[in-house]
Amino acid sequence: MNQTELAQRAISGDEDSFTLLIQENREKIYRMAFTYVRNKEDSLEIVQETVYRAFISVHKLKQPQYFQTWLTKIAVNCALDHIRKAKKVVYMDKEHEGSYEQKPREDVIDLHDALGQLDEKSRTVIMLRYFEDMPIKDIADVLDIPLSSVKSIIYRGLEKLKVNIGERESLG
Amino acid sequence: MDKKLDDYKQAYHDIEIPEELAAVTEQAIERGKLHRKRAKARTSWVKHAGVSAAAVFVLFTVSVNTMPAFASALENVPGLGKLVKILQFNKGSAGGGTPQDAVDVSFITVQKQGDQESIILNFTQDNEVQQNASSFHVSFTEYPNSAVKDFETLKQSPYIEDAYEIISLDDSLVRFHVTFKEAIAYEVKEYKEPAQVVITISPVEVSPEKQQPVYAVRTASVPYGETLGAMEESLLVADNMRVLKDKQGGYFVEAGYYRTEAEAQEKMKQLKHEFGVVEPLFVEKREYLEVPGGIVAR
Repeated sequence: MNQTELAQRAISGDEDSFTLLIQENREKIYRMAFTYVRNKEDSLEIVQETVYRAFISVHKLKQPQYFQTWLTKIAVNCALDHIRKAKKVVYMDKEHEGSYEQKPREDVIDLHDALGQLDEKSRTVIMLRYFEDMPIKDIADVLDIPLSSVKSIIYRGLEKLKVNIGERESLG
Repeated sequence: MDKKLDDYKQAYHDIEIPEELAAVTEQAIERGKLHRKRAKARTSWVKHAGVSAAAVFVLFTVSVNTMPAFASALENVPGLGKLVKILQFNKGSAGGGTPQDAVDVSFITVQKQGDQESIILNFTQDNEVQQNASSFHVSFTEYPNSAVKDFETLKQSPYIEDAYEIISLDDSLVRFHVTFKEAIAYEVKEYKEPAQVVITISPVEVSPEKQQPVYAVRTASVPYGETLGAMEESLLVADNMRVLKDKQGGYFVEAGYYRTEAEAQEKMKQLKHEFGVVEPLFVEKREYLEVPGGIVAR
């Protein structure tokens, strides 16, 4: 059964279908969460909140084919909420971040350093577009911003990351 | 695609997935299911309200667990620790905690929020604050409205008529009885780190047709002490047995209460003949919220 069919069943209240959908998407949610908070504990908390929120509101989802986009939107919102709450409580300095974990691989450190230069919105857009291969139209839906804004965020983001924009893709 | 971007993408997909991920998502779904169940129970309670007198007791229980007022109160629960669970009451009775040695309920506090009150029981073990609540049991019954639990601080509550300890021949048991002045809705939550049991009560309206008198089958009143404990043991065969205090301060054991006098007489006969209870028993008519009277054995 494909995701849209599963989503249709989940919307009409089938808990097993929902569970299957989550099993297929949980690693993705985790990675997205990790990109924001850079440690396991917080990432898992975000995953849990995302799945819970999705479960209790899945019946409100109107079009099953948008399940992925919808779930991504919840995950991004949960991650941003989490960061906001954490900011109120304690400010984590750079040395502290992610230090509970075994040392992440070098390339992952590079990734975080790179994304660290970007603000939250740009980070979200770059992550969804280039790591999750999400269409620009869907990113606009996730963030509730116009298509044109997504494009300019991508443009500016890549410039900041010093990525060669030339041949990569037309943002036309 | 740009080489750098490719590397980043690779790094992103190399983010290590922890073992706990599956368990965490399952937990989240369980939490969601619980939420759904509560929402469902709420609607079915509205649907069936007032259908029959026989179902009243169960309905009362359901309404308590899903009282909308409590849903909003959940955010500011007065417990200090982590919520272990919200007790689900089945026929007015529920328990929780884990069995532990040499424990005591060290102090009881009452907190007020609007017209709601929370009774907080704190557990200690060897004079140290306990992290997990020891095994406990709370039961809510009517005639008079009461919860078997405890004391002085409790008597300050405007909703509480009386609170007293019940003798237990078994050392491992601490028991209390609380009599409420009016009908209440209740919710009980268990916390850990530190161990606490929080009983939240608030007044509810009870329709006059539910305030019918009942006929109780009970023993004569005796002073607080071992006789009472022995009496209780001899009546353990009764389904709804409880220990109560009467108006004069004496204690007695109630085997149960019934809607009609005939039913009560029948039950009394059954206890005497089928279960061989030798204790003298009486049938007492009791009004809604009336505290039982003293009966002296002749």
